[in-house]
Amino acid sequence: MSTLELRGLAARYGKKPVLHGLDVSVAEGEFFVLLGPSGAGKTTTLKCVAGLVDRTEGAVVIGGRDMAGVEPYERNVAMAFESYALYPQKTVADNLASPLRSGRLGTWTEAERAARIDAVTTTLGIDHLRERLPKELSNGQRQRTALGRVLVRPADVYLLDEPLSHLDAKLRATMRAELRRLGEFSRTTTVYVTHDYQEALALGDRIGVLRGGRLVQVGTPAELWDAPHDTFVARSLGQPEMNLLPARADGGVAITGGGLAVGVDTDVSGPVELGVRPRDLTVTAGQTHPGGFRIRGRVELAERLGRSVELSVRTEGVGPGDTLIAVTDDPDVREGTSVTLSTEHTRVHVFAGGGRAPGPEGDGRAGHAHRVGNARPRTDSEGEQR
Amino acid sequence: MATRERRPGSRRFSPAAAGADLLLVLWFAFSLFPILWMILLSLKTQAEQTSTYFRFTPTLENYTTVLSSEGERITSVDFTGALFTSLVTSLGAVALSLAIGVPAAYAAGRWAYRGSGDVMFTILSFRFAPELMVIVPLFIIYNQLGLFDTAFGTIWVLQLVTLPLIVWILRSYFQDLPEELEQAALLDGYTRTRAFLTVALPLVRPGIAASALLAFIFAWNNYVFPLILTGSENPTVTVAVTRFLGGGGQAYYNLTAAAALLAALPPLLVALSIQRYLVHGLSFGAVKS
Amino acid sequence: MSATMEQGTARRLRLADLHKTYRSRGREAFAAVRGIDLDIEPGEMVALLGPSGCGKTTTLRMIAGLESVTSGSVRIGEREVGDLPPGKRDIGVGFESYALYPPLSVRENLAYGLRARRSMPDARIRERVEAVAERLEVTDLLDLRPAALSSGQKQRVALARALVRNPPVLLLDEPLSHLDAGQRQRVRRELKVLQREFGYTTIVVTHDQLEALSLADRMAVMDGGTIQQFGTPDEVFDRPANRFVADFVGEPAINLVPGEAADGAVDVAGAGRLPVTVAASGPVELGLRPQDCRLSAEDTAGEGPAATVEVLEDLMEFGLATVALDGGGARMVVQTEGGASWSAGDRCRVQAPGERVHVFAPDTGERLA
Repeated sequence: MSTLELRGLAARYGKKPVLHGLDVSVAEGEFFVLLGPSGAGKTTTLKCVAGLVDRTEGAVVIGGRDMAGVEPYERNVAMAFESYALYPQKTVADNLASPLRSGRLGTWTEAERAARIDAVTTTLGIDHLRERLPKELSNGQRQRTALGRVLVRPADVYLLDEPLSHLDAKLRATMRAELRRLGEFSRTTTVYVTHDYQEALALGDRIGVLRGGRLVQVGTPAELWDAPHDTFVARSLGQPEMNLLPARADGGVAITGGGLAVGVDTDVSGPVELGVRPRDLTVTAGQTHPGGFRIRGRVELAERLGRSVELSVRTEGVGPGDTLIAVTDDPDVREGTSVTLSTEHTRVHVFAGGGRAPGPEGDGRAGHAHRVGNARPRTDSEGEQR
Repeated sequence: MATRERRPGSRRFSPAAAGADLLLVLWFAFSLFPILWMILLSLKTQAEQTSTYFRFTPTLENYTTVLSSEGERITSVDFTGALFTSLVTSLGAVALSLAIGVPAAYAAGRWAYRGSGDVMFTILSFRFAPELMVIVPLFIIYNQLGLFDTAFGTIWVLQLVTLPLIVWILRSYFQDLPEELEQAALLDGYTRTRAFLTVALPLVRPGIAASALLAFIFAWNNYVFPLILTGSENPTVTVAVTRFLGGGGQAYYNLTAAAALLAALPPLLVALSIQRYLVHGLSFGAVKS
Repeated sequence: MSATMEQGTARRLRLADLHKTYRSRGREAFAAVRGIDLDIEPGEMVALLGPSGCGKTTTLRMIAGLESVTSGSVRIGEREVGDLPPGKRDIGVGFESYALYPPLSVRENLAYGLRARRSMPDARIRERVEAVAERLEVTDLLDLRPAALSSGQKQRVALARALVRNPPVLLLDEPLSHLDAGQRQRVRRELKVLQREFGYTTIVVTHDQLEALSLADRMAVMDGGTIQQFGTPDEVFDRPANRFVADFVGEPAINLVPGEAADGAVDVAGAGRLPVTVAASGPVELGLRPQDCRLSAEDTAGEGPAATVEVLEDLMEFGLATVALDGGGARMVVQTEGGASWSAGDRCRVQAPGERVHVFAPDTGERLA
């Protein structure tokens, strides 16, 4: 177990720069999650730490020791690959024994090796699979074996690359809870790579959001949730994604195209985006009493998502043709009905400086507006809407 | 409803399909005829060898002649000795190529370094450059170095045939092998050499087998190099066969046919026994390189 | 909507006792589809949902005519189409892989199906392609090649190509599978709005239960080549016909735990009692959705199996608690409020309203009424 530090880490893949100076410091025993879309450089980061990809600049420091020039087999890190990378010609037991047999990670007698493998297969519930070959395993079983090969050996740092991504949704949820239950991960410094925000929230002591080879924000799940650094982070967390309403701020008031006005900091001016998470919107039939942040609209689509219902609400106060997404647990909200969406002003995030209207294909190529704070009630006496 | 299988829009009989089948049969007969002719020829007596009749008294005499000292009297080359020489030189050439080619293919498949493309192209160029282009200088060099008409000399020159094959086929195998397997081995505490030996090498065994057998066949069948670079001491079987066509006086077509068929047997047996393997190995190399 | 879009009227689609058996020499015959009966109303959107290998794609391919029918009937409107080649069935198909022709522009891709038919003058074809393109917001993409499109755009183009022939019946195979989470949601909503507006009779094949629940008017849950349940999303979610349906539909997955029923209540794995609304007795299997359960303090009045919290996952919008029921063995997942209200090691009771406790026969897995 060790600390892990990345100092200005940069790397290329072929000739293409993939990482542009990552700085992060992972504490001893911390479970650190790297979250980002594909191509963001998550796997490259892990492989730089493992020494499988050469950094072009910066440093990887494990336990205070700079890893420059240290071969992968001398770094004492264990990694689970997204592809599992199980040796196809070896049984599960032999796959697990592989790190114990290299002689470089410690010496074990045959009996000690057997005991370690035993403990791991029992923990992961793959006792009965020990004599199977990888091709005879299901994806879930392969994934457990790959985890087993990590857990079976002592290591300073565990690196896990999308370990759950090839599992179906249900198995993924079960394994997620199981990872939490495994004590090994709470004792060993771990870097966990994923594109699934639920995994990140559920598992991470801290999360680093990676985009285009840069860390956009590092923080605890709550920090990222409550104060996303920009619209990219905001939309990376939560499904359905956060609603973003284009507006224009001036003199402490931001007004959307449809005339909805909220209070903002007086030093914010120009185009802004107001962000509201679908689950933060309370849905009420018809009109409600004033107060808070309120938008009226008509339910265009009501889609059942299990117990909750996802509403596409064509709004009156946002802008022409703009649709807001809201989630309600009330199964009786029907399509075509008029509803009011409301929330606290503190749940409305204000983003500025993106210089872009969010389109349906908003994909991160344009700039992402930075969060400048929350909305608040207007100080003047005008109504909330119109 | 009928329970009969129906394929919507499937065709049943059409004249076009029948015509295509007929063409295929004709082509088949055309391509196999020379082989049939060779077999017939090898069973004919000296007197009948130039006749074009299909009716004759078959005899195995030609085969015994070729394999006995009588054959050696005619050609002044020991045919069974040549078979043995071919076996030794072909196997030797393949072994040497594997020793050099497997690591080379691994390096070529795993790492791109400055000039790696050029190196691979040079190796391949051995294959498509006509052998006659280099044969004169090689002849002079072999004479100077005392390699002329030696088994080792033949093994050496056959590298031009076997090495490119093995390197190019195996490179595709190594490229298809996920690099992460070796990376996993590195993190398990194995050095690069051990990762190669314990992880990568066992997994390309089918490729090694396919390319080695293919290289063996090519080495065995090579004619031009041994023709010029061997004499009467260590000729290969391909050279020995042509001796029956005679240099001085009579041409023994029937003996030539028998010798050629005997010479074709080892590669044929190898090819048949591993046919599926071989096709897989070749197409494997073909789709990715 | 343009005048060229009008004539295709949605038709009823009926499958009766549809079978598909694959026979190949030297192998045992494999029955991929074993007797499917479906009656789909004109303009209805139906999802075929199931795990891979359940026969849903084979069924779709039989309707499209890409796969021969072993026995049974496929009727579109009043016409039996089981014997017709694919081109003559009046069906639009959107493939999972988009199946756009790479060397052709989007415009040519859309026109291709109409040209192949040779039944329409070029001017009409152009008109029609443009009308559909406008409706699906791909007008700007008409002169691009497929390679230049994002996956969301490809999906829309593939959809446009299925629609351009104005088929009375539309078949879509995993239409959203290649999109990332955000795009999937947007395209899903768009697809539903379009389907409503055009009124096609539509079958969507999917393995994603969320997609089926949100898109379909009615859904057929398939397993082992047969339909396990056919009903509205509400019916399937709230009254699953058997253990398979209950387990396949819903996320997080339903908890299946053994129980003993008697007198309007069940004993849950020996850890405590929950009310039920069915008159069952003896051993049963219980289905409890994580969203329908709640945790309360151990000393709260009322029933509910006692348990210990093992793991709490805080997903901000809500939490998921994995609890171990007393008596060992059974674990359950319970959805909790967001924010860490519980922590590992806490003692608690699991409670659920009786009408939300699903009761299945332990042997057959069938729902007990």
